[in-house]
Amino acid sequence: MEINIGQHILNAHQEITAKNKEVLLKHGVLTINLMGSPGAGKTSVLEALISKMKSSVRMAVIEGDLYTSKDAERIEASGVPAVQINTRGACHLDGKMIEWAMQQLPLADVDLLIIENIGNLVCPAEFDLGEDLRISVLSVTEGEDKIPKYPLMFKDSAAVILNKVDLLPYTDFNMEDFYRDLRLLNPDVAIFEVSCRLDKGMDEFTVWLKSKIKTN
Amino acid sequence: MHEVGLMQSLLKMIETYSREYRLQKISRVVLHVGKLSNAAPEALQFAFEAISPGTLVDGAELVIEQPEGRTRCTACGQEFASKMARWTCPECGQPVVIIAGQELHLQTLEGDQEEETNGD
Repeated sequence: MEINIGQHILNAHQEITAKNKEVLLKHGVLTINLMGSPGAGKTSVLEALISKMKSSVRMAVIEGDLYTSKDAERIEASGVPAVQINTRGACHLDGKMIEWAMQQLPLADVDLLIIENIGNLVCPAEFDLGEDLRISVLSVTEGEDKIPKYPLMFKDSAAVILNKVDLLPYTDFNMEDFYRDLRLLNPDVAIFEVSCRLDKGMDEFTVWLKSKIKTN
Repeated sequence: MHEVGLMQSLLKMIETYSREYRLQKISRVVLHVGKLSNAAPEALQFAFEAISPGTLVDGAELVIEQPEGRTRCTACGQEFASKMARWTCPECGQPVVIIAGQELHLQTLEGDQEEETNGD
């Protein structure tokens, strides 16, 4: 007997993500999928954001790592509820993990949910977590050639944060190529040059993100 | 891409449809893997063979068809056949969107249905 199906292999996953998105919509939560290489500065960006925003915006964080709860602990120390997902080997977060994490957060009291994805420029770009916006972090020490090398990651980002600009004098990072290649891929992307360590540039990013919450 | 994970998801899907259509043994699985999807057919084939032993797709033929890729420019509206994922329009250099070739579908299942048991 032959049966015609024509359904996406990951249909079951997509359905879970669609349900998650409905729940977040119902609670009026703006959801960010924060991505970037290991060590780019995702958690540092989050810590800086929290210190500038937590008095006016109710935030919550879902942390994704293979192992340890180090990042969730850092976030909680900043005064914001965080749930740690340990994938124990999986290289990206998926809808089922997010569904589990969401159940542990007081979503009715959250305006802004940030999902810090696994440090990885490849796989997370391919999995929709039901987010409203994707934000990626690239650090100066990684090199400007990562933009054309990982197009899906940077093409789908609403904002790209270039971190560790304090290290520019010690690298050969080509700023001109960075801006040119990024704008070619993604003409409307918002670009922020920051140094989390020296508290440079994060105020501008905070203003931008706040404007997204207001229009949500 | 994650071919083994994809094949495990595929197996779950096949098991669900088999229950629904009362198929007890699958003889053929046809997938549509678009040329612009990020899944590699050889790796999918390899992963399928690796996970099939002892399952209801053990010994089944896996056929992978690859629909062609097409992109459309967001600025000038022109459409192009695309062999590889491309991000900018060859005519005007503006960003393009992919409109075909990213399928990752279970298209067809062939198998033996359970026989109706006639009570004696």
